[in-house]
Amino acid sequence: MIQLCSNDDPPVSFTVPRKAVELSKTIKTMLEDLEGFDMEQTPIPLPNVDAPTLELIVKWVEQHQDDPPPVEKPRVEDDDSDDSDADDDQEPEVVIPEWDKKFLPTDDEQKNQLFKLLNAANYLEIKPLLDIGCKYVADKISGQTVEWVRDYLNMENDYTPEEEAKLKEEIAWAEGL
Amino acid sequence: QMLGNILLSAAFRTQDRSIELSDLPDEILLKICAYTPFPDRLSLEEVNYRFNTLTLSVWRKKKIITVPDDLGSLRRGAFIPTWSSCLEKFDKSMQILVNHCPLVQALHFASHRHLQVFIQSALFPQIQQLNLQLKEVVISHLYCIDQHAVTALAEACPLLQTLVIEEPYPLLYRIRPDSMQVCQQRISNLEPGLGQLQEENSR
Repeated sequence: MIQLCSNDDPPVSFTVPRKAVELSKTIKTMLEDLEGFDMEQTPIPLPNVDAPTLELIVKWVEQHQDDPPPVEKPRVEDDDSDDSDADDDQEPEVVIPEWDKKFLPTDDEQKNQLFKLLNAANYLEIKPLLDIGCKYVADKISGQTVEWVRDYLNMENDYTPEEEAKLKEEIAWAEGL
Repeated sequence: QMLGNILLSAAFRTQDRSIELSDLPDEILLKICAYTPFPDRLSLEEVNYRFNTLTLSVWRKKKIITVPDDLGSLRRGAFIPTWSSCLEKFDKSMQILVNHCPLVQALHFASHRHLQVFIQSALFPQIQQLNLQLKEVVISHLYCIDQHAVTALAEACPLLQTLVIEEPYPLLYRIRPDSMQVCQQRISNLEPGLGQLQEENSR
């Protein structure tokens, strides 16, 4: 068993089976690098993860610890020499499993928690969790107005009125076809 | 133990605070952009500078344009009912797609359930106008093609190396005499069963 500590003061600690915690590439690499240390006695602090987020992470890795490992696509070093028929503009299709749909903090008041979870999944390199979280946000954005998206993402419109008008003009073709 | 102490000292640098999506690193936003369908990516471009840059970088990775699917997806939910209605708007909408996708090397004419696609010579000058650096054209369904059409296509796309017909009989045409290696490589990338290499460019 491995102990993970949140960044709270005082830190909150969670004890997680090693197999589950190794779903995080970051922690797996750390454990491999520290082979020989008694890691069961050394709590691993996670500076970017608070207790509620860590609790979610632990729940997710415990649920998915027996999943088959994801198949990783070989990386193409030189884009120009890639003559395969694969299109690289879009991520591979991701289907959010039923359990994960219920697991993700999807209520509007939990939006902040969802973003923290994405941040933690990214920091801990838990790719499948990051994928389903990003897919959820992408689905949420789909079909919404620009104003709605700005509000949901809490992003300021930093275009000048002239720039905004020019941009609207450039993509107006998509509306008018 | 010392290592644990070092890690613990780092642990308190970031205390609990609220996070907005705008606080997240680019790689997360990029992933969200990549999972967003094309028409909604256009909305993302309008959100702000950061999203504009990120969505454009996703478009820039696109190497294949599929017609009419990619064009249809840009119409915000509208379905293109016929091939002709797609052709009618081909040059205008393709120009935008091409502007967004400077790395595009292949054009895929896909057929829909009720749409049997025959490539039309009238389309070739339009393709030529777009100045695409096409190395490959794929036609998903084509019963016959003649020497004239292949020559016209080769003239419209000076860099074109291969023409692939997917159905009803999988065929791969070598357009340039020096592109045998490309053809062999292309065959190995295709689905099993699509393995015939047509040596000459007429049939």
